[in-house]
Amino acid sequence: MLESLVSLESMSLSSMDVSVLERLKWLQQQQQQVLSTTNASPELLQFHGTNNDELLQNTFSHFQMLGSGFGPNYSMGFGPSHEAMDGCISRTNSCQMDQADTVGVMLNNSEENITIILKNKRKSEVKTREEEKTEKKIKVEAETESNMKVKSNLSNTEASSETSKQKSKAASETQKLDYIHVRARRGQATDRHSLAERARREKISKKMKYLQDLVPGCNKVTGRAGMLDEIINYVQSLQRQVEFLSMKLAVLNPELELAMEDLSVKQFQAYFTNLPVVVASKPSLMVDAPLFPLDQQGSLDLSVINPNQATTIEAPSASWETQSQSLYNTSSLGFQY
Amino acid sequence: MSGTNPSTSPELEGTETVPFGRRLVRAQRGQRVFAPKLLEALRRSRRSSEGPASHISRRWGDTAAQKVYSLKLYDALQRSRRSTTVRDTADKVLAATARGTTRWSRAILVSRLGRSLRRHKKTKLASAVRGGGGGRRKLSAVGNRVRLLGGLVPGCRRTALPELLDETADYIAALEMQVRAMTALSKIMSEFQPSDKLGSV
Repeated sequence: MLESLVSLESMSLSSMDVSVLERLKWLQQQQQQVLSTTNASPELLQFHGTNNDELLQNTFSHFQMLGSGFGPNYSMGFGPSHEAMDGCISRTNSCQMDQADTVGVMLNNSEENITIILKNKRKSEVKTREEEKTEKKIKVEAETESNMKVKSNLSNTEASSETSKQKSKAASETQKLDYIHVRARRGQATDRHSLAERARREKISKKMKYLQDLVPGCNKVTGRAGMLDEIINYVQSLQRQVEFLSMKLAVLNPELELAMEDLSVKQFQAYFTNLPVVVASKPSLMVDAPLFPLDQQGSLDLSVINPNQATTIEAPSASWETQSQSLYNTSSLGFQY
Repeated sequence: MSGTNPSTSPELEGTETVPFGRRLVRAQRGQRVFAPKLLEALRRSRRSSEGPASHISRRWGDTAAQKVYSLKLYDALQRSRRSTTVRDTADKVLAATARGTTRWSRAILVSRLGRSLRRHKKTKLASAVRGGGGGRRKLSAVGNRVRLLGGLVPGCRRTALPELLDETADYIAALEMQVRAMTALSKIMSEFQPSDKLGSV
């Protein structure tokens, strides 16, 4: 049996694509064969004891290779690969070997005190130790179901859970799935609710940061209340500006309608298309300051003056185009923020 | 992008009914109103880890968008009647430029249907917040401001905070573009004044 294991390992060492899951499945199958052959429980334990050392060494070499292989390859959710592995592998002081029904590979290393316990579970909730760094997956049910099917031959109907249960996280994580990997920080709770809350809070803070860039003058204020204040002020000021401008346009509008009988709309639209043709404004133009009470926004820097306003433009004339184009070059500054 | 429901199908030229709550909005002729949720879902699926930043500034920061808006506004102003204020037409055109993908644009398009009619009859608009005004318990400092902000952004009184922040960002960008376009437009129109009365308005 061990020779087959060794052959398996050599096979798998050559190709790192073999997932840990399959490898462990192999091991478990081997174990099960061992179990089936020897039916007495004390012999089982002894067998466990004798076989474990070699198994342990072999699989640990695997895991080390895995650890090194995972580091560069799998960036998401692994981080320092050894820590991931340690997180997966629980550290228990006591390993209760008297449970003959516990199925799976039990590897004991007295030095490092690492045990890997693979069991078939009904629930898919992962119990994590809160003092250590842990990883938690959202939507873990679907995936563990598939795992369960794989290990169905080793099924343990009992829901014995005295020792800390952990799934084959390493195996399942190698499968490429679109899960949200959230790493809980030290000392923070890792239950579902707090993780969801934390995700929500991060989302909100990200959006607030974006708004901070959008609203000028928001950098100086810290804290959500102050920022919201600034945002509210800014929105109100923008709305007021729109109000002023609409009043202005309302004044201009009826006169324009009367005057526009001579001009055609197409000609007017031609002015709009001239806008991207921007020439540097002439410095002699004065500023026509609007009556806005707000001077905070840098975007409303209206620094364009029209000295020709006193002498209004006459109705369409031949020199119209040259005049108006020069005017347009200046007024097109309005578009140039 | 074909939906079995004709109301959610995209790109229908001519009149298109967009379901909004229980009232229907009819887009103007020639305007395309995409199915809003579908578009937002598409946007979200396409979005990488950039967050809300990219598409909003791209939508409202372009001078092309500004030109489109000012042309449409000028068109609408020429066609406007006495009953509707300039402000309303401006908002309406802004919302139309937004193509109905955001909540505030949809709310503006819907509310404008009712507002001009109701103002004619001189009835007050039904306030959206009735329960809150009556039994408002003491909210936190942040919560109060969130309510205020929701009141400012049209159609977002009851939305939750993350969506509200998204809508606010889009609304702010749109308002800035509106201000820019309207200043330029007023400048152009004032320069075209043939009459001498106004002088330097």
